Amino acid sequence: MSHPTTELDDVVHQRVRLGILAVLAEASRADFNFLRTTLSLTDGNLSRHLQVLEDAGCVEIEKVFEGKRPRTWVKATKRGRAAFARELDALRALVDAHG
Amino acid sequence: MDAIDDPAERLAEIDDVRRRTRAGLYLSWFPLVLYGVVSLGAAALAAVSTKYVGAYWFVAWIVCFVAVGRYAAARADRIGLGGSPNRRYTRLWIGFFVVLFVAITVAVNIGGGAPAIVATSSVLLCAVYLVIARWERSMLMAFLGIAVAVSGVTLAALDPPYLVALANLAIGVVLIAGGLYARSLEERP
Repeated sequence: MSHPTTELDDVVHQRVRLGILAVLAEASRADFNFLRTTLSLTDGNLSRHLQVLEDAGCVEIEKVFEGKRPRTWVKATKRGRAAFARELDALRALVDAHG
Repeated sequence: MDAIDDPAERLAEIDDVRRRTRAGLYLSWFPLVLYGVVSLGAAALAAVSTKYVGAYWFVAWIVCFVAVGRYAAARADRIGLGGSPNRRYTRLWIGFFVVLFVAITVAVNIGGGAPAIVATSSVLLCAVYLVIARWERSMLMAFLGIAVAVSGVTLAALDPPYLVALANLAIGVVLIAGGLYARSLEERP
């Protein structure tokens, strides 16, 4: 039987990235400002983590102009939602294992 | 990878982020207060005559639904969240009206009169609020639904004069109180 930590995903387990996927588990999409404010991040920090998630195929990033205002929307992919669900299961298993 | 210092703490953080996101998506005082005010209008109308209360609610509901939809879209855009669940809310409320129409028709045909109509409407409205409470994971919506059912069924059992007016008044007060409470929650950091 494998230890629960072996189920943790390096990409998703990171605290900020897990927070991003937690937001996207509730909303079909979130904009950059909402994520930055909700997770108390700087622009650069959030951008870096979004890039990691996008490279892993966990999120899709769409940059649009609404009027003259640029806006960045982020949404979770099927893979991202599945990875988030697996991560939650792994964390719960860890909590259960340690009583 | 981060050190796995405390998985329970990590899960708690996730729950907090999800709760705040849900609050941005769903928690809103506007629909509750709007429908509460409309219900007070129905109470005033019913105090004069109950003849047009059904038609009043039908028209008012359509107007309110459009207004709430626009409000929800504008609010989601302002906050920076997508995923407005308008479609399933529309299906739910249309289903409510269809079931309500059938139930009231049956209640009238078996001679139930106003108490049966009030009790049936309250219980069905409660069912809708409980479904919404489940979608939004909102204790407030569940509480409001139960409050509507309890007040409606109690009034129907007592069958006082001006029953329909009093039932609409009770629902209006419950919804406005719930809306004001939701607003106070929204203003919290």
